[in-house]
Parts: sequence; C-alpha cells; structure tokens
Amino acid sequence: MADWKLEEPEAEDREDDAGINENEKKFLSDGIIDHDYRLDGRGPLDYRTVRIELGVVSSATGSAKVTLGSSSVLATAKLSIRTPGKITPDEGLIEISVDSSLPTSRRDNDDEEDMGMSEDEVKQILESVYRESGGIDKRRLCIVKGSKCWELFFDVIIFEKGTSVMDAASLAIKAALFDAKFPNLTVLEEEFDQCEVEFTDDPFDFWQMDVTRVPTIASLHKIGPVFLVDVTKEEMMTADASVVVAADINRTIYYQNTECGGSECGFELNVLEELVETSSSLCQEINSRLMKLLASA
Amino acid sequence: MDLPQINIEIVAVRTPDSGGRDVEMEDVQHGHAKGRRAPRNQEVFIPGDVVMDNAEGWMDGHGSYCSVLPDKRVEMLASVAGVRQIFTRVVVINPLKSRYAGEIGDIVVGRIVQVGRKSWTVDVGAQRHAVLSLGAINLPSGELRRKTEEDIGFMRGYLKEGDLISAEVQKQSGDGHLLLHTRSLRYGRLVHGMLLHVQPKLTKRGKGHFVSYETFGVHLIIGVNGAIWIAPTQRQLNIPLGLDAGEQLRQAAEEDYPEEQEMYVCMTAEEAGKFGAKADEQGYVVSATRSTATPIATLEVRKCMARIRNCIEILNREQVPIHRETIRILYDASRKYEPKELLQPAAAGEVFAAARQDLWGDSADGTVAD
Repeated sequence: MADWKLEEPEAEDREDDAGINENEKKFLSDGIIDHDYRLDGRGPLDYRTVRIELGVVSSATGSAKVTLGSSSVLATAKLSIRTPGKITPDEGLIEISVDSSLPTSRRDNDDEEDMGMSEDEVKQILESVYRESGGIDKRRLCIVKGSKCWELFFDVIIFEKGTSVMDAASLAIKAALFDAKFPNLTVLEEEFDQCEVEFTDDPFDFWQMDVTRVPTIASLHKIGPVFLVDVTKEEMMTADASVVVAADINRTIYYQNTECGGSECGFELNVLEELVETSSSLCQEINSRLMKLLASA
Repeated sequence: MDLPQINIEIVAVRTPDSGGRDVEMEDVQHGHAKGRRAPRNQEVFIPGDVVMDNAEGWMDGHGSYCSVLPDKRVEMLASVAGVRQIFTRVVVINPLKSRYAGEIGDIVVGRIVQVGRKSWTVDVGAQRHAVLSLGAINLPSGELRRKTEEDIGFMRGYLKEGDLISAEVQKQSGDGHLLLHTRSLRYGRLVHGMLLHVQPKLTKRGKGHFVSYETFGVHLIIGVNGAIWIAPTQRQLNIPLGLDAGEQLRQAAEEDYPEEQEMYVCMTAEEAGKFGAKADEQGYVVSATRSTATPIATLEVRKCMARIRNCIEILNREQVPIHRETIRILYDASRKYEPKELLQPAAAGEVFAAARQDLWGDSADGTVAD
C-alpha cells in the first residue's frame, strides 16, 4: 500500500526558473500597476545597460555585438556585387539570416512553450523591418542602374536568447551597418551595356552609410495598463500581451506584431494609440542616443 | 512620466589596421599541443588540464583523476573547471561553478514541481529534485497526528505546483536526493515577494538565514541553495500551509526557538539612519507601522526591496559571500544611488569599490560562518 515509488526526481531538464506562481505574479504586477515600479527598481520604460561592441569580427566589413540583459546577439554585415532584380533595377539587395548557437536552440520538451521567439520569428521580423519596409534605403546600394549593385548580407547570431532578443538584434544590425565600410569603386563602361567595376587598392578609401534613418525595434509587454520594455523573465511570464514595434527617427512605424502572452486578458484596441505613441517616442529616444554614441565612437 | 533610462555603452574593438588578420592554423595547433602536456602554472584548471606532472604518491580527490601514461608515469588531470587545493596527499579541484549539494540542516528555498502520492517533489537547484513528504509537514490546524488517507487527497490544497516553500534539509536519501521538512513555524509556503537566484557557493551555511529589516519592512530568506526570497514584512514570515498570518505570528511567538534572537536584525532609529533611512522621510515610518488595509507593499518598501535585490546581484557578480552583513555593507554604500542606477555597471562598480574595504575586512573577521 505504501507506494513509495518516486518518478525519479531527476533535475537535469530543469530550467533556471521553471515558472512563477500566481502570488509572485500578483506581487510583480501590483508594483507596476500601482507605482510604475518594477522589482529591480526600473520604471516601465527603462532599459538595462546596452553594451555594443563594434568591429568584433575582422573578416566582415561591419560587425557589432550587442548585450542587453540576458540577450547577446552578434550581427555581421558582408558585401558582394550582384545584378539587381528586373523590377527594381535601381535598388540593391539585402539578405538576412538568423542563427542561434546550440544551447539556445535546444528545446527540452516540445510541450513546453519556448520562452521568447524562435529564430524564424526573429528572422521574419527583421526581414520585414529592414528589407521589405525599406528600413534600409536600398537605392544607396545601387552602383550602376540595372547592372551592378551591392548585396548586403546580415548574419545575425544569437548567442544567448534572453527576453529582449528583438531589441538587441535590431541594435546589432544598425550598429553593424554603421560599422560597414563600402569600398569606393570605379566603374569602367564597356559595350553592350556591360560594365566592370574596379576596386581601389587603398583600404581606407571607403564610404559609410548614414544610419540615422535606419529603424530600431522595441518589444513591449503589457501588464495591466502599463507598457514595459526590456522585461525580465518573470515579467514576461506575467505579461498579458506583447508587441514588437519598429520606428525610425521620423516616427514611422514599420512593423507591429501582437502575440498573446498566455494570459486570458489580451490586448485591447483602445490602447493601440497609446502604444504607438509610447513606442515611437521610445524608438526615437534610442535612435538619437545610439546615433550620438556611434558618432563619437 | 520622466524620460526613459536608456544607457548604452559602445566599445570599439576595431583594430587600426582594418584589414583582415589571418590566424595561422599551425600556430593554433602547435600552441594547443604544447599546452596540453605541460602542467600549466596557473590558478584555474579546466577539464583535461594537467594538475600534477608526476602524481606518484598523490591521491586524486574530487574533481581530479589519475591517468597512466604509456611510459608508466602517472599524471593527474582535472575533471572539472576550478582551483586546486591540496590536503596533505590529496589533490582536490574545487569547481568554480557548481550545483547545490545539500547537507542536513540547510535552510533552502525551493519550488514545488510535482505533487505525488505521498510527497511533493521540490526543485531546490540540486543535482536531483528534493522530496518533501507528507509526513514532514505541519498540518494547517497545528495538531500533531498521523497523516491519514484524507490528507493524501487534500495534498494539493496544502501545496500545489509552482508554490515556493522554505524548508530544512532533514536528511539525504540513499540514492542522492534530499528529504526536506517544514516542521517548524519558520518554514512554509512563501507568498508575495520575489525570488532571486545566486550562485549556491556564495550563500554559506551559518546562522542568520532569516533576515528581517524591520525598519524597512523587508524580510529576506537566504536559502543555502542559492535561492533568495525577498518579501515585504507586512505578510510576516511565511504562511505555513494555510494558516493566516496573524495566527501564525502568535504561534511563532509561543514556539520556543532559541535561535530566534539572532535571526533578526534589531535596529534602533540611529541604526536605521545608517542604513539610509532619513529621519525626515515619512515613508520609513509608514512602512514600520504596518496596517493590514494597505496593499501588499508600499512604494517605499518596494524601493528597499529593489535596492537589496540589486545589491545582492552585485555581490553575486563580484563573487562575494552573501549574508546579512555583506548585504548591509553594500546597501549602506549604495545609498547615494537610486535602486535602478545600481543596474548600471559603472555605478555598481563604484559602489562595490567603495564597499570593498568593509567587505573584505568583514570576512577576515570570520563573520562568514562556515
């Protein structure tokens, strides 16, 4: 009768904190709703320190590693010369690939919902923001109309997938593009609309793209009526809903993505305006900070 | 609303010659082959490193093993990453990072992961989950009796998955998992507060795992397993499985507990001043006189909690033992910053540098009870 069989309490597939209970969630959200005060003392729109390392990969033309909270993302920009597409002869090409290192892509259990976004999701959002919505001015990548253009490859590697992986990835892409050096070319005209390009021997003969207008992405989570940026894991689990917003310095919203945070309380339509307002001013703020720092770097 | 705090640091790692630098493959291989065999004169060993060239007459302890070379020479290698320690003839590698290994009497904070037939499975961050059996808890009614079939049916009512508990390690079972008990009113379910994880090796065994900062209304449970519970004192202590707070307090007072005196930091107004409570600041007075009508925690209490949390984070990052005194020292040193500013590396570094003298002086006194 005394059934002492324990189902082998192995702790090997344990995550750091498997989840938090209702009481903890209540305590967390009370502080945010009543006082706008998070558990670590931040206000709703405060980021943790963003650390950007420029030029970490010597073989890429531009690279940046961004560490934000528990997320760590490396973006590299690489160049090659291509023939532009028929429909857009005066535009360059942009390719984005997203990869994550082994430990982050591992899924212990299929039933368990993976916290945060998958690589595919990150890739899809980044592509929408930077390639399809014209986040990066592709006309700047044109060399000879209809014949030669730059193709810009962004390889994004997620070292650690924290909660703010989107924010970190967008900052990394922006910083990598800032770091990228486009060599100056001399175009040699040939017959039959064919042309050749010639590189200069001088490694310091390059131009850099103006990234002021390149958008940044902010992911916001909603707890009660309050929007939070750069959430912690606990806050993420408490959140009612989350959105990803991209905006550039002119307050243009490029992308919005709403996903339910697992709570029954979703995302109301009437807060949309407030959200857009908040996020675009936030993105603007990040943009101007980043540009100021990049200029002095 | 004031401007959001966005703190960006930019580090340019770019070398002046922007051309790509090729790493010579030979160099790498050569260097590796050389480093593998020779004993490295260094502080930290990584697995596979030669700890001792000629291990004849030495014994391999935890974290090291002997390997016999083709020429019959015996060398000792490290099996974990850590620092070497030698006890007479035994060589031990103390791992830098390790999971919590339980000992009898440890106070731990854990999370229920499973409700079993006669026991709960508790995640305490050890190699294996710990077990809290139904027989090892105090019933909510407080009466001491054998647990019946009825109690088994009601187990989820006492503790369910996801609940946090504080408990004591009663013993270690033969196959390596820990058996917990909560048979004291100090232990029980934890509600309304936040949990923080630190490296288990920093939370040493000793007295004072229950710390209460009465003046701030903040209460800490420093689990030996590296889980630290920070909660407002208003909901005094922990709620032992269904007892309401008032009754529990009364019972706790009745229970004869000789250590109780040491568990609390009793502070006078002067001492509170040292801690950062300004006399003119009303908030501390408010939080000291608790009323049940207020929400779980006032803003002042939350500020204290955030500061303590961030101080513990700094201690964790800087590899300083975490106990009552070190938290107090850092709390003291961090007064001129807002809690959120402590998240910035620059501010944290400054605070830590200022407190360093006190921190080390402290551990030299042997306050770190072992």
